[in-house]
Amino acid sequence: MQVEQQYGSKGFGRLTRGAGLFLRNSFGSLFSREFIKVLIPLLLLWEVIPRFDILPRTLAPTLSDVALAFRDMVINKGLLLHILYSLGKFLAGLLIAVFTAIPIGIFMGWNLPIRKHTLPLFQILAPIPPPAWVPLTIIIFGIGLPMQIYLIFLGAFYPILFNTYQAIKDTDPRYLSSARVFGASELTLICNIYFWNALGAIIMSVKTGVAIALVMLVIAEMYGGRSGIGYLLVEAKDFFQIPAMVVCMLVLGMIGWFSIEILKFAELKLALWKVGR
Amino acid sequence: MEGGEMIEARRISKFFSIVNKEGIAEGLTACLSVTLSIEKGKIITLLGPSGCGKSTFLEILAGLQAPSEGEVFIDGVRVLEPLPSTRAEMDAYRKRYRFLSPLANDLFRDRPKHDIAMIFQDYAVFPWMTVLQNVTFTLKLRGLRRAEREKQALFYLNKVGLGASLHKYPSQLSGGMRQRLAFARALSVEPKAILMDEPFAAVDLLTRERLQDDLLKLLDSSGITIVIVTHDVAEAAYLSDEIIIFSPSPGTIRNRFTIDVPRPRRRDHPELADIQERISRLLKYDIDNESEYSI
Amino acid sequence: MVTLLLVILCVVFAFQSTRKLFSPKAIIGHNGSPLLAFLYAADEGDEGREAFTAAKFNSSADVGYALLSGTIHAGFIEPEKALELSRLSGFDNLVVLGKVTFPYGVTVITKKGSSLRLQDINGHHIGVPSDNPALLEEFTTAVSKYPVQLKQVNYQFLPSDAIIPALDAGKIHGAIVKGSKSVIAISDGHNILFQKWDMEPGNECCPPVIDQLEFVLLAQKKEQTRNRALVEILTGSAALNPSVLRAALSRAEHVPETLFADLPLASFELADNQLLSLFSQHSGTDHHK
Repeated sequence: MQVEQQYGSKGFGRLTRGAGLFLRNSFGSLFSREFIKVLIPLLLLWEVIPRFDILPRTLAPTLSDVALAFRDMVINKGLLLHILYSLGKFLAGLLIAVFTAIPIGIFMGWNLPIRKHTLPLFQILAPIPPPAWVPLTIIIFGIGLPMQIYLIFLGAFYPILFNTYQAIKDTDPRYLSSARVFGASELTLICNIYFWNALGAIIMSVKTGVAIALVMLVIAEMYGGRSGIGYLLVEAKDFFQIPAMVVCMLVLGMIGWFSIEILKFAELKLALWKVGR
Repeated sequence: MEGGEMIEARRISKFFSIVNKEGIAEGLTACLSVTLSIEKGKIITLLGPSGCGKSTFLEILAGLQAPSEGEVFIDGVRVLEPLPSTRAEMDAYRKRYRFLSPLANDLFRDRPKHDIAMIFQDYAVFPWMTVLQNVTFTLKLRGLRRAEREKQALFYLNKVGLGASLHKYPSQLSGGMRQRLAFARALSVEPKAILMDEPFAAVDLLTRERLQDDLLKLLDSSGITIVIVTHDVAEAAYLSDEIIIFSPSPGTIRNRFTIDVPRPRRRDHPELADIQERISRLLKYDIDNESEYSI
Repeated sequence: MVTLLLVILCVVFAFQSTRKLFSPKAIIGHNGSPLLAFLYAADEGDEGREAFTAAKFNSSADVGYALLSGTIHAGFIEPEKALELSRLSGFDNLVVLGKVTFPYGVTVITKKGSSLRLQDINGHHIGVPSDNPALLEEFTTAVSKYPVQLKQVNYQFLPSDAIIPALDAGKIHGAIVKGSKSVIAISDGHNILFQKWDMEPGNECCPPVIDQLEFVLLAQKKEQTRNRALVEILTGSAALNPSVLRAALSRAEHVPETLFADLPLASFELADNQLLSLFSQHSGTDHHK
């Protein structure tokens, strides 16, 4: 009882409970009873169809082929290290995007003159699809880590910026009046009202940013990385290693899914006040 | 300046320009030359049908909107600087407010310019802060330290009866409790005047009457000047010392009624009923005749 | 459930369909390598223009996939990749038609504008391909005839396609590369510092086929007449006057002709039994991994 209290009160206990809740939410929603009923037959089909040569096995590997390739890649090719590299680049680009797009979006939404001066520039540049930036990026940054992080940043930047500024702009003026009449300064307004009111929309925009950043991660690694899952994917394709290709695809999918789940969890924790509305 | 006047509004006019259905810009007069003096410690109600400019007028009193003409003084201090009259002043004004609107407070420092509080109909409380945080927020704007903030917040929250819901979020409270939170927040800064914009419109009748009683109890001999905007005649009669009738388009003061019945009042007091009758007839006449101007 | 089944069946049938459209002209896929001068020359010639079109792909792996799906008729692929390709079941429809070899052995290249001399190589960073370490031994043996000190040379092992970028970036001063890579290096503007010319097939240090073999020409097995015609045209083209071939190469690669003036050209021959047995061996054992 006492040990439980000691561990269960703050810090460690809270952390494990939070992690447990997160895992239950994320994996629970994915592997629900209903989906298992669909998933098991699909997995069986995947295993069986290439074995009976309904699909050629060398071009469409079975589940066990993929699993073996996965094991091989983990042991021999350092798959886990590559995953870490990819995650590192992904997080770096994403965090840079979040910490630039959100402040800029806040300033643009808060003040009309600022918005009038800056928004048109972003509106011109944003429609350029991120993969089209690759050649110019290679010219400026060369091939290597800065180019890859820049491309990932570019993918995540615009969705976050536009959604943030829109949400801040659309803050109900009555909240602002409520605070202004009590003498709130603009800084107080931004930190305490604009930001929190827009937080739901901001997190949603980060989810979109994550999706695009993941695409850019793969593209960036294909174009001259030496490391990362995208590079492994292209190398597997270049050397006709189909099961390895499938492993890379699945790993990338998992990275994306996991990032979204983390964001959903953050949304849950931060937006408590919306519960019950 | 003048003795006993808490809020003084002189010849306040507010013009808007809107685009009508045909796409032509036309002028809309929300208020036209409204002059009003409100004594200290009184409860005044601004009454009138919807859309007659009383809410706009209230916001001008609070300094949340700038009047097109006229000036407002709260306890002798002018609310919002005068609009420019000469060309040179206009240029200087425009230059100064190129970046920040004149309605905004300071950029970095919290500066309560006048000791007033305001309560809105909806959106009075911040849904992302707990009950306690809502109240300590406004106290922080006044510059109180954390311990004092909490103490004062607790005091007023207990006074309105929310002492048991300190860490709940407004979405977990009922409508009546949310309005009480708004009261607590307004009272906690111990203002000289509280302006209320249809504070009880969003709740049902029974809750409304309870809240009205609670309000009177809270204000009991506190000396705070109250200005309430409402369209409920019975509420106006029950609560106020003076009722000011607004008439629509343009918004001007049509009539004033003084109520001398001492508090605590009975809702079925004959004088109240009489005044309600007269006011209703007046309002009905206005609506029936749709008078453009009232002299 | 029903829709799911239908989707799966559609995918299966898509895979099964072997009806591919062949254009009247055969398409030969390549990756734009400067070693394929004979291909570019043939493409320009009248006979070649009638018989085939050369199609450039981003990488030779794409050539391989196009061959498997039947959208191109023939293609040039690097031997290591071709061996991997031979493990896939679609390879049964393909045949090894010819090979491209380059006569030179190990080469040392330096960055364009560098004035590094072979005698001064001591103390510098030299790149070595990590997937072909025999080259280092070849180099040291070849250079032992000359008064060059190698004791203090700093060897950096890099994957072979990282070597030229590293040279560009200045991370290494020079690099030891396979003979044919020198052609690519020259077309990028780098210098050749040293090149082993007296290369004979069967040198003990290196397996002969892989070392000198640059590309194999794979083609669809069914089109036998077309294959014969192709081999004839290409062999004929490879026997043209070197200056003609160099001119065609410079046009295809958009670089001045003088760049290749000192370099030999890769040659094209019909696949010999050694090559064919290598492939049948490899593909036979690994068919179902």
